[in-house]
Amino acid sequence: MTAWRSNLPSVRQALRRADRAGVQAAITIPFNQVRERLSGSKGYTSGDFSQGVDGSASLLAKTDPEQIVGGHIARFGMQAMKAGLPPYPLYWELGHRNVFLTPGADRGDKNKWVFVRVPIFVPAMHENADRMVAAYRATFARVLAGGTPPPTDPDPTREVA
Amino acid sequence: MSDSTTAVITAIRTRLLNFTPATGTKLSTSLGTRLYRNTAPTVVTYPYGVLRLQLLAGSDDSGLVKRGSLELALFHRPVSQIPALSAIADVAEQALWQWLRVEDASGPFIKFYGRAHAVPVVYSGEAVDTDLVHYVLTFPLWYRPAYLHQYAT
Repeated sequence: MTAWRSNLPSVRQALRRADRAGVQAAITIPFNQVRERLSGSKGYTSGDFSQGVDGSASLLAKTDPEQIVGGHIARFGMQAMKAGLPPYPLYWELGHRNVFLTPGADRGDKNKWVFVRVPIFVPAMHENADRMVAAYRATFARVLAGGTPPPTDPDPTREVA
Repeated sequence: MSDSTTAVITAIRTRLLNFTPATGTKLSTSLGTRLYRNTAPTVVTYPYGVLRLQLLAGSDDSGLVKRGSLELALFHRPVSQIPALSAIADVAEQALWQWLRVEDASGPFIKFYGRAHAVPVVYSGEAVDTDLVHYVLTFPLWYRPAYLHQYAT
């Protein structure tokens, strides 16, 4: 006679693993778009007045999915502060009035300083919302069925106990 | 029936300016008419706000509604005006908190379904205007323009 054994723990673990891989696959899409838009001389630059924002892509980082109630969450963003820089990318993302881009005659009046803004993060999320959901679904189903996630994921099988 | 993006922003702008908070000042008093669409004029009077509607790509749920987010950027100066701008942001949040605009002849159905998160932007460094006070609020919403719901009847 065999003792009854619940498979619930392994089901939970499989669901966790699939969700984690799905979140990883979903965040990779906007992350790659942001990295592409910030690479080289693109991104938060404006003519000769780059003000240290050239090479912003090197400050880009994303976290591994972390477990929260009901699923996983992953974040990506710029590590300007961690790198010891002022948060210039934040200023460009949300907009600011820039004295260096203002014609010389107007620099004395702050109300005439040029407002500049280069939104990159939010558009990447808006433009890829449907693709992120599709990537999540496909990866979730694939991993749940015992398959391996797409190659963009470094180690999706890593499990947090 | 007008169902353009402009009509949606116009309806939201009207709501923001006309909303009477339980406490505090109406935006039509604190901002006057300086609640702009998409971009502000080159030379501005403070405080002022800028509204932008950003729609999610491919988000028309079953082809019947469109989802997106409304961004409200608020500006004031100098930095001593932080409490004043914070109060303006509070009233804007209240005005759109779960606001439901029922469809009528003047425009589409709009529903805000979440609370905005005000992000105060604190400036430092010589490259930017450090005397500027800047808040950014993002509200999730969905709306149903006539060209979508004509297929649902």
